[in-house]
Amino acid sequence: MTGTRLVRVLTLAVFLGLAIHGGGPVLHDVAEGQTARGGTITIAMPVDIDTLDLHKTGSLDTGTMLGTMVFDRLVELTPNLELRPGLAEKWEVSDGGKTWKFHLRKGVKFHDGTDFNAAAVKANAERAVNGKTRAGFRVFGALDSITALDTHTIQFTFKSPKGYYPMLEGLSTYNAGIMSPAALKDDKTTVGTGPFKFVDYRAGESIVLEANKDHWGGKPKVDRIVFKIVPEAATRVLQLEKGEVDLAYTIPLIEVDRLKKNTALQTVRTPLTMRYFAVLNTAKPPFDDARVRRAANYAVDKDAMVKSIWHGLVRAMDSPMSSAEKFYVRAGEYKYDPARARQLLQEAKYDTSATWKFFTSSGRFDGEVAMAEAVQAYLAQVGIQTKVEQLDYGTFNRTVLKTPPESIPGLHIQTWGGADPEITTKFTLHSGRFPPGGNRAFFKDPRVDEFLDRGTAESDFDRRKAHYAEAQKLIWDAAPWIFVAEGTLVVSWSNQLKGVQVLPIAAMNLRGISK
Amino acid sequence: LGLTTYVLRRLLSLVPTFLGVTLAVFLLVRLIPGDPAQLMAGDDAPPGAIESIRQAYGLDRPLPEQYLIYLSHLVRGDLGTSLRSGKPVWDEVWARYPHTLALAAFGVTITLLVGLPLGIYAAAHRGGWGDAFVMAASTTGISMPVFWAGLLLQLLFAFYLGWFPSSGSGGFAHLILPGVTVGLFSVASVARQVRAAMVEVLVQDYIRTARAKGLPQGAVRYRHALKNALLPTITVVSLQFGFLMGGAVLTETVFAYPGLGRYMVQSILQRDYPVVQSCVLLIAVTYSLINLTTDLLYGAIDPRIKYS
Repeated sequence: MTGTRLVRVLTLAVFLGLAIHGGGPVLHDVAEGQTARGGTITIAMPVDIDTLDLHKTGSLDTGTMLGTMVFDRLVELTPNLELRPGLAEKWEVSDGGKTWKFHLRKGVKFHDGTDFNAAAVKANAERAVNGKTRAGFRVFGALDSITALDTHTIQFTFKSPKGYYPMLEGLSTYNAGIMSPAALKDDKTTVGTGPFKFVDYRAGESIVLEANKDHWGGKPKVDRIVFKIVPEAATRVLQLEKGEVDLAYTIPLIEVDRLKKNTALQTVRTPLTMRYFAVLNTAKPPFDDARVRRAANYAVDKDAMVKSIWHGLVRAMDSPMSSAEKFYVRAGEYKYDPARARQLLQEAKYDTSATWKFFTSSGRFDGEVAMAEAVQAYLAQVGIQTKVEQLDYGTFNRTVLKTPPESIPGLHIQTWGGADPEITTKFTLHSGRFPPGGNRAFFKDPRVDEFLDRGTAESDFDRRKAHYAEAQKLIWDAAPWIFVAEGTLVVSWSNQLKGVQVLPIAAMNLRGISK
Repeated sequence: LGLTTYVLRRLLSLVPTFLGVTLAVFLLVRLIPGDPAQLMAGDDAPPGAIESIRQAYGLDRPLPEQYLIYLSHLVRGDLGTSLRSGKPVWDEVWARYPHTLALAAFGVTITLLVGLPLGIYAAAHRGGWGDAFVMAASTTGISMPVFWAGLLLQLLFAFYLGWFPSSGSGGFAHLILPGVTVGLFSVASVARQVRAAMVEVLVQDYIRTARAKGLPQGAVRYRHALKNALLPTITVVSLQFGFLMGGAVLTETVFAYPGLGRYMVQSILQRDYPVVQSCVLLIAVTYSLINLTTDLLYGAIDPRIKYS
């Protein structure tokens, strides 16, 4: 008897311990932890970097943290997703988009003291192509030749025309950072021209960067930046509240309300170009019928999902593009209407006895699995039976990325974003991008293809926007996806920190950070 | 001489075991659906990209050929190159293995320092308040999810009291919270194991004889009873050690501890075949050596056990 009672008492004590944690404003002495650090800024990063090789990395964290700080690109992306000169001061396009000439910034040196020049750019581009790197695939596909016209002019010639914005956007991505050719062979370091130098990397633990006082853009305002790898979200938040770190990102949405009340912190939510949606395979029954796809969209109560899964912190989709994109237009609304969904299914003679596989991975974004389960429940209410299968990302990818279309089962959760419609929309919905490309709905509409192609070729902003507006409306009506929500990234930092820039592509630019 | 031959024979017999491990892991990682080339190329890879990565890393060759290449590199001490980082696997693993070993060793030390006395105490006071308390506490210890216990310890000792660092590695101080976290579970199981073994031994005739001839309580308990209760305990502890070598993933995550466990899980998710193969092999080697040590310890403690 006594034993059981003791267990009860102990359990209660342990639960009380937890209750204090969940209870509220308990951690106060923020200032104390921050006094001794001086010119060092510490950032809690959710995942380890995958490699020091920028041309190869597939990790957004590696790319935007290490990549943005240590390297410069020929072209840079602003927080408003506009492009501005970086290591290239100006450029000329000719031959209908096949020949690109870049005039490089003079007097720039890599951190190892070697000169940045056309030969360095050539070495980078050649390595990216020949080394089968992501940079090679993304930026330099269909490259014909690279010529250093003089020490500070480089010319790329492509076999097929490159769209003006898509090409420049490609050069601004982290994979296209310019690395010192002299240091490329050393896998223990990584050398760029950026405002911070790489100093130290301890696997699974931390990355240390030091200010590059000779940076062409001006001397950084802090001496050192330390990235601490803190995989557990609860720990990241606690370290931030306690002042052990100055900035933490990928804050769980459930913590946002509480952190916003903390006056020592800035907690900022940035809408992303990334969207959360369910891909419907339009190439085979039942989703080859647009009525069934529309029915699926009417069946899902997005607003309720936004409230319950994402705590009201994201926006429901009302266009195939996210409202964080420059070219977004509101395309319409699939207002929650189960009766209408049932009617559409009836018209399409939908067989309610069938059950479709519904794949999702987990952890790509906050609420991924909950989203799949909610969509499944809503679909079931109108008679579309699905069975959710949660897979790890590698298996998931293998399962949903197959050709031909007939082999891809049912539907799956997807998320996709980018800095330009070329990536966000053309890559995912143009019929020229069937898997292994991004069009996993096998969506094919000649009119949509045409507007997306015109958007690629166009360099005038307003005309480009007009093409994409047409494409968005057509896609919305054709409903190749169940449109659900626009993503968000929550970053929280100490009030003493200045100059934090969060980009709608789920990236950060901390080059101008100070304390 | 007999012992040396025994050890040598045991070591020799490990070779086929390791060969079996390499083959099993080689096949297992390839049996998981998923394609490293696809994951490396990324979601936005253009057509042809995946194929060319596969060629570049030799992933397009027949499996037997891939295995032989792997083996031939392995015997020359070359663990290969990580698909993800492009660095030699040896460097990657070596950056983490000492951390894992330190954590496991510290966890086991705590287990012995706390679990052993608790178990002896409980057995000696069987049925009393102290026994009930130890048993209740160890039930709690065993049932508490590791990550939760870790978060509670972190909250109390790192954030409220500020006694220990909240995460990372470095000095001994960094080891304490994760070490206690991994130790918590094994303390509980060792305490229960020792108690059970001691309870069994303490009712034996020779214990009664020892008491009858007037030996002090301590001598009866530690010199006579404990020695006999120790064998099954050593087995449990060595199993825990082996378990900690690969199984501290949750603790590593909570405390951002740069060990092998978390790295291995990431590598499995990324289908980084060379890394997974090497990690598992390394853990197998460590585990086998621990087993051998355990067997030798049996003989040291119990002279009735002979090696031949």
